[in-house]
Amino acid sequence: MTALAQQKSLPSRAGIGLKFRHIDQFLREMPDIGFVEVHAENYLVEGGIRLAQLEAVRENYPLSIHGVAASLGSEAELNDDHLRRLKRLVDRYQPQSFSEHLAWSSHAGVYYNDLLPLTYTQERLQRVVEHIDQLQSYLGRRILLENPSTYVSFEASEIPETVFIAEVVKRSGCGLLMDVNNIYVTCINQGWSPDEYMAALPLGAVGEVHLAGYTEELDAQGNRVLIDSHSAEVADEVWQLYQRLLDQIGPQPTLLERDGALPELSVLLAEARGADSLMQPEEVRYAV
Amino acid sequence: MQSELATALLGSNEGLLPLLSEPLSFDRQRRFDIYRNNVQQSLIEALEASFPVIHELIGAEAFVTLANLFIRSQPPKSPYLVEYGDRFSNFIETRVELSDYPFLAEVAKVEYQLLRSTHAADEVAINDQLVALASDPDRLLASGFKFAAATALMPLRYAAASIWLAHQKSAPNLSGMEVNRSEWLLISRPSFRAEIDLLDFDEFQFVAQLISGATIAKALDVVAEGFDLTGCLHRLLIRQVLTGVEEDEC
Repeated sequence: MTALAQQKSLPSRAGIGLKFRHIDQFLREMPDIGFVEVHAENYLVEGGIRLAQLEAVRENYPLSIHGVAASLGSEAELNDDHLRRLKRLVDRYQPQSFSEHLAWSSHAGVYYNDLLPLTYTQERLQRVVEHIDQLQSYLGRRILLENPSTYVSFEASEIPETVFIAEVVKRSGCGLLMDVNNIYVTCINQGWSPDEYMAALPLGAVGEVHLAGYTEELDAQGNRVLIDSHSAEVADEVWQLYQRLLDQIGPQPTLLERDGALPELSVLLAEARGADSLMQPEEVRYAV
Repeated sequence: MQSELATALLGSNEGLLPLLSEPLSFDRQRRFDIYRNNVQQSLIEALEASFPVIHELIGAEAFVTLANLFIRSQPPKSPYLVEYGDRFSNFIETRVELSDYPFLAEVAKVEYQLLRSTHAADEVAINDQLVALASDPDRLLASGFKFAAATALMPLRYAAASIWLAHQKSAPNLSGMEVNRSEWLLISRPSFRAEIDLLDFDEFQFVAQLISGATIAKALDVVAEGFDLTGCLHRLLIRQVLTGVEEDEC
């Protein structure tokens, strides 16, 4: 593995995902917030207002660039053009963190715009590690890998998901972006215990935490399936799981993600303050 | 497995379901449908974001139907969804059910070009040089120009630009608009917003000549007498489209 430069990391505070609809207001008001996260693919353009706005954000806030399309879980090679575009973005904005997903989104020249699930096999494990190695070497930095939210599992899978993730982290040297909502969603959908799942992940490698809201559907028997929609407030069970995570590993850079049913910026900022207050020492937390 | 799942996302899932584990609750089909819905919904939303006027013109329901057909027939090739839809206009043109509205394909073409111009490379206009050249007619006539990447000229068979412009108001009113007439557009991005100028045919021809590399003297050959050269250069200056000048030595 190549020696990778350690970036200055994100502060252990809450941040928000910055959406186009909020960006003008955000830049006018410059709210006190720990960091800002954007999706890489929204900024892989040649020029214009988006890049100018990102420049302004970067001048005033620690930045996390979150990729959704590298397709690290693909059977096929990574896309060279995409790697080049990502590198240009990362070199230009020097974010404190770059993260991607344990998922795939492209196959045979088609881009599906979703984070699709993998079979957990030794062969796939090796492939994912190679892809992360390649991305880390190309960007010249360590990346964080986000645990997935899943709705199905495959007959062909032979390794438990948490073992697969832990092994990827160990072999590639990447960090973990622990998405607490994804843990909850996946575990409810797969019939696993969220606490056991969380405990089985390499907690020492966590470099950022994501919190988001899910939506749910019920079947005829009243069983729930949870959908990682990012279109609701963070659920109580997810806040509680997050609290138990903080109890174990202390304050973490924590992103409030919201993509659908976008509320006012002030609502997202209030949610971020909620996460900040959980990161306060207990005596301060209860005094607020 | 990826190939079966990929096929199932936009087509038949017969090959996929047997590869999925039997879940505790919800059948495999309903679980897989979550992925399928995510893919379709997110791509429909991407097209809606890129083609808001088409969406408004044909209505939400027809737009979803059209977008679904397009996604199945021409799924995105790259993750840059602002580039998805380069063939949406051509697709609209082939739809029999939309043949009563032949201007729609051109409206889509205008919307896509505006998007391209919005995200085109940042460049610096040579306005000072142009002003200096204007004081020396001989040099000006012998000059040709480079254009910013955000610049595009579009000849339209229908009044698609006027339709687009009408939809920038909250209550667009197309009644009384003659749509069966040609329009000639200059699209540019003088600051951060892409702009549309409606040109007359002479000005369009003139700018087209300049874009193809002609000097001003040569470009003037294609226009009628009385062409407003000063007005046109003023427009090119305001729209910040000229990014380089080449003076013909001869």
